[in-house]
Amino acid sequence: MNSGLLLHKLLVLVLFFSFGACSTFTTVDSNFRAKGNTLAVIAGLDNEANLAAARSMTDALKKNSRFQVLSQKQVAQSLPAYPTKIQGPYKTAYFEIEIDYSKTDVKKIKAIQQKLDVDYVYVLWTPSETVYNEKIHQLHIIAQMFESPNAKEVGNGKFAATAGRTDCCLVPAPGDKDKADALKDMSEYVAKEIAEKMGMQKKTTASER
Amino acid sequence: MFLVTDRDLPLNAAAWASIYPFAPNFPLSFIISFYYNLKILVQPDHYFRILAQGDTGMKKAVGFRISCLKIVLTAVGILGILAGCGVHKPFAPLDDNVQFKTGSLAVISGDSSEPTMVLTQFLTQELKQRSSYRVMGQEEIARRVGKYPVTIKRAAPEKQEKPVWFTKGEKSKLDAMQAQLKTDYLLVVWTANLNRSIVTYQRGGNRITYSAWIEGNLVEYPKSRAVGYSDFGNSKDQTCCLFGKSEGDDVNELLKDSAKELADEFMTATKSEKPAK
Repeated sequence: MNSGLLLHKLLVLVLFFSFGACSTFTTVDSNFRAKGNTLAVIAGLDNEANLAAARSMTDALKKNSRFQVLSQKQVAQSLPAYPTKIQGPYKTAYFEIEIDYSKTDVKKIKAIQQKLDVDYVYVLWTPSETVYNEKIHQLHIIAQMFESPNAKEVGNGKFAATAGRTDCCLVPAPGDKDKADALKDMSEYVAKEIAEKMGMQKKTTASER
Repeated sequence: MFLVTDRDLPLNAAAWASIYPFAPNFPLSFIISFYYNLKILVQPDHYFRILAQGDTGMKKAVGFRISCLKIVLTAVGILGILAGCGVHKPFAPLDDNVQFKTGSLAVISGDSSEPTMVLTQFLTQELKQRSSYRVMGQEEIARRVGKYPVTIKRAAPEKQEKPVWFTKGEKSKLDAMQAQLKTDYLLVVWTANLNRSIVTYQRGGNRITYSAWIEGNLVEYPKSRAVGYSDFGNSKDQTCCLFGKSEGDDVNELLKDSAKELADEFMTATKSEKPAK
């Protein structure tokens, strides 16, 4: 097997496993525990991909955590012209997101938090989407969790929703449903990690045990 | 520009044959080994529609749009592009009889993708500094228009050699913007197919190249008609990593160079370059 083909196979494997292998949410303080339980997910950009990611994450957090999560409809009703562009924690975002957490417009987020009157705001940005050989689609996402009342950052993470497992010519390109499923799966994974690291996991019942 | 994919090799044998003269010293087997080792990352500028199953069981449309153009660039192909094979019009009038007047201009981002917005910023700066037009800043545009940028959808132009990229239906969005901005011209631009291509050499090592395609139209008011167009591609080898820069810096430089090239041709066509001090 020549080195080019080996590199290709390794790259595909890295893309495939990167979704599950890396932490998607890290608290700023490892001993952090949530004090309140109300939360809103906010799309940081006013494009449809970002709104889709926010909706998916809202559903996932409702299902997998003890947070009382505002629906996207409630968010839109409370915030005029939602979604609007919020400067996010990145320097550039072309093929990958180049992180810079100092760039976030915290002032805007604080204003949003005050309007929504929630304990936590989880802001998601989807500034780029890449396609590898037409077969592997990745929606790149970066997110931050802010705590009231001063929009203090308590956690963050970068991840991607990946549709397609191989770029082999015999395998069809992922369709719309594959991409929707990838977004849903990614949201579930991240929501569970958020719940665990913030001490807000759902309590399992005796029957579930 | 040569568009060649893994599946299209047999169909594009003629294309390969046509670029071969540019690389007479490369054995054909060497070129084909380049071809099969090409890895492409494409950043789409569009969204694709995906369907998500809602709680009620009703399918809800949510939005991703994704580019469906397939691009494979070889090192030799890039040489072919730079040698002038294919379209390369940073700016040209749509009609040879167009009379450009001096006045005010707003550069409009044709969509909300990062590359298009960055290109628009660079182009605004170039024209503000170097042209005699009164160029409105991007912040001022956002303030006056409200929701900006908005996506101005493109469609295949009626005349490929003199393209008007937006449909009549989309033009109304530009007209609505101009009503707020009150400029004599709108120069709307889009980026397409921002690519990172990795060419792996048989003897080891690889070469990484970034490329993008830029499209645009100049619309004059009050006649509300397109009078100029842009249709060109640019590429740049990766220089980050070796010199401590980031990949984003390389892409920014590609977009900045593209903006400069468009601005140069625009000022030549409109005779609007400021005299040197």
